[in-house]
Amino acid sequence: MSPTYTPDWSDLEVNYSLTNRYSVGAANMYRQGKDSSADFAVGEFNYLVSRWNELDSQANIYASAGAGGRQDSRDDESLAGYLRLEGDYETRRVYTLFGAESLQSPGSVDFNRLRYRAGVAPYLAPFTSLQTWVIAQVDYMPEMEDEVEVTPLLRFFYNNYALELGVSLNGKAFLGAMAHF
Amino acid sequence: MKTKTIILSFLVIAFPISSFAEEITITVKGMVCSFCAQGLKKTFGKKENVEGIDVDLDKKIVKVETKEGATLKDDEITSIIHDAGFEVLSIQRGTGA
Repeated sequence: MSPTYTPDWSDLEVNYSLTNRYSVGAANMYRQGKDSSADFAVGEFNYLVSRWNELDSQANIYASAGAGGRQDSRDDESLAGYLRLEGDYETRRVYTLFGAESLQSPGSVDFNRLRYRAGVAPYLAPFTSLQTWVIAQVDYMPEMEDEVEVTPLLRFFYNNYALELGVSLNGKAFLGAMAHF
Repeated sequence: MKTKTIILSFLVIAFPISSFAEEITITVKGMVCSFCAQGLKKTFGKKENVEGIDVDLDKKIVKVETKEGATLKDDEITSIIHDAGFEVLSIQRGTGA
């Protein structure tokens, strides 16, 4: 389960892993853009396209596709489709991610985002202890009022939980969480 | 001869091979994050023949202690690690108390 929140872009995703390569889930997404705002509800399928395991690192490429519906601020309803492609690379000290996602719905209610993240772990700790990451996140979202959002954030891992807290340079709060069961 | 038989009998009774637990040290490729370690600990913890698990993220090592008289075969370990999304670099076995 992974909720993320900013005032104009928030997601709540619940996924169930069928294997280490496949998971299915559902997502609720809220977007408030320059020309429209809408709630989306989609069922999604996630696939681990490729993974590279090395002794000190791991790299992954993930793809997601979803379909569902949306309701916009004028109570207009329509179908919606969702695509996401992500690649990440991680060691115990360094983390980086590149992602692209697109929500498409008839009536030009579309929201797209390119995301880049780079982070470092300032200290190493056993996996049973609190782990901390310092991350810089850059989002390009052409349909949003602030097309570029740069957010320094802190990510904390503890047991099966992760929490992300930050404030963008535009002054928007960022909150993310993840729980594995 | 009689003395040897008595000594051997004593050793077999005192230290039956089947009563030893096994300590298995597995070096895992790709295990770099907290969630990875938690996942592997949970997966091995579900096995009936496993008594304890310890994960060292720095050394990329998973130590599994089997219950007395139980064992985990190499191919079973490899399968568990692979199904969790990682790869086995090496498996070393020792005997616990």
